[in-house]
Amino acid sequence: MGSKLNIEELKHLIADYITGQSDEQEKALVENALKESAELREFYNEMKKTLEFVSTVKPGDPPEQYWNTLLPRIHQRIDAEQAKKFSWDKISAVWKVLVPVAAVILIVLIYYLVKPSNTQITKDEQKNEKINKDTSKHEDENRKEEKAPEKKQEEKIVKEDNRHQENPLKKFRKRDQVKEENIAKEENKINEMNTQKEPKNEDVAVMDIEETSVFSMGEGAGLDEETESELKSLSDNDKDALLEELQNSNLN
Amino acid sequence: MTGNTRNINNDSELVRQFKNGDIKGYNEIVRKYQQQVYRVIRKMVLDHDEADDITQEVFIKVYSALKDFREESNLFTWLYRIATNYSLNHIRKIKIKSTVSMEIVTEQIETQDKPGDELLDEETRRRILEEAIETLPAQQRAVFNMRYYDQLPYAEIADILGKSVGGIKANYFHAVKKIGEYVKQKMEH
Repeated sequence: MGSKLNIEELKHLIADYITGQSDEQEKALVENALKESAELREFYNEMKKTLEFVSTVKPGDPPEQYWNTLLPRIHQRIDAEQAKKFSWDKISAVWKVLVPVAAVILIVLIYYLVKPSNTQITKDEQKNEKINKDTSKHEDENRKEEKAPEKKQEEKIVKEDNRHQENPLKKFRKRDQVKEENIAKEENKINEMNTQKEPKNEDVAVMDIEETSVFSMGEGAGLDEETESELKSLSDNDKDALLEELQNSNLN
Repeated sequence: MTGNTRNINNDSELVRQFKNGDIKGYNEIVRKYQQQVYRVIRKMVLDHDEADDITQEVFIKVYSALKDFREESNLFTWLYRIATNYSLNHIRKIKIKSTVSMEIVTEQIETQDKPGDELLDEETRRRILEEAIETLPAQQRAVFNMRYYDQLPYAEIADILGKSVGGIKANYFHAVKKIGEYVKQKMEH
């Protein structure tokens, strides 16, 4: 520390100088400065008064007995805190049981949350059922559409029936007529098919033989005795006529 | 520290004894340093009951932390740091309460005591000084106590408070100056 300290820096050394805490160098600096500076001497006097006042006040010490009781009281508090900590250990022991239980519950919960629930399955089933219903509905509609012309025809008939409701006999006639028309249509179809498969002369000959066998076989042809005897009694011309008629009826 | 019978080597032995599971090491540390620790705290908080409570807390802290003490600083510096920090925290917590109690004390002094340094009894002097110390910021208060009463080197105070030596010297200068101004003001009224 050099001797170039200003007055403020020297003031910082005064307190230690008064209490005897300065080293030799600081002590010399202060003593020289006090000789030279009136301001510093005034400050020194103020500080000395203050520190003398402080020194007259003894630290507030407790009675001597206090020092003998401090250590046991500290140990009491340490024991109390350790007991408190022990109770925490007890609680933590409870937690040792609770934590695994809670973990299992959590896993189960997560499992049920992740896994599709019964409700979800039911919903899925409901969806499938709905899809099936829709599909079947569409199929029904298609069927209906397919059946629509027939239904329309029936409805038309019903309408016509209603129209001729005053004459039930006409209604039945008409229905029979329609049926007969349908039968006729089917027969036409069969005829067309047969026409496409025009029988050859040989086939016709075979057929003649078969037809002829009807007259010759009698019971073998499934005719009763009366019919058989009638057939036998027929002349050749009548037989030919009958056969022709039968052929025509089969073709038609 | 002048006046303290610190034996660092003995402290190390006590610490080692405690770390080895012998409670006698801890007990010896408490007996050895209880008065210094209490006085540090008492000068900071100024009330015996509070000082007693904080002293116990400090040594309980020492009990739990001593096993981790690495002896990078000497044991008393470590104790002093704990005591000072506990005291500073306490002062900050009860700042409002202290202000109120100080006003009551001031009122009592003003009504009871006559001016004149020679006429003041010791109790009144103590009250005035405590009031003066209470006006100081917490750090200045700590520095004043450490330097004036415990005569710690500036370097050690700086180490305890984690401040620079220059800053600690300035704190001490301002603390003494403020106490002087307060006492002078009280004496003049």
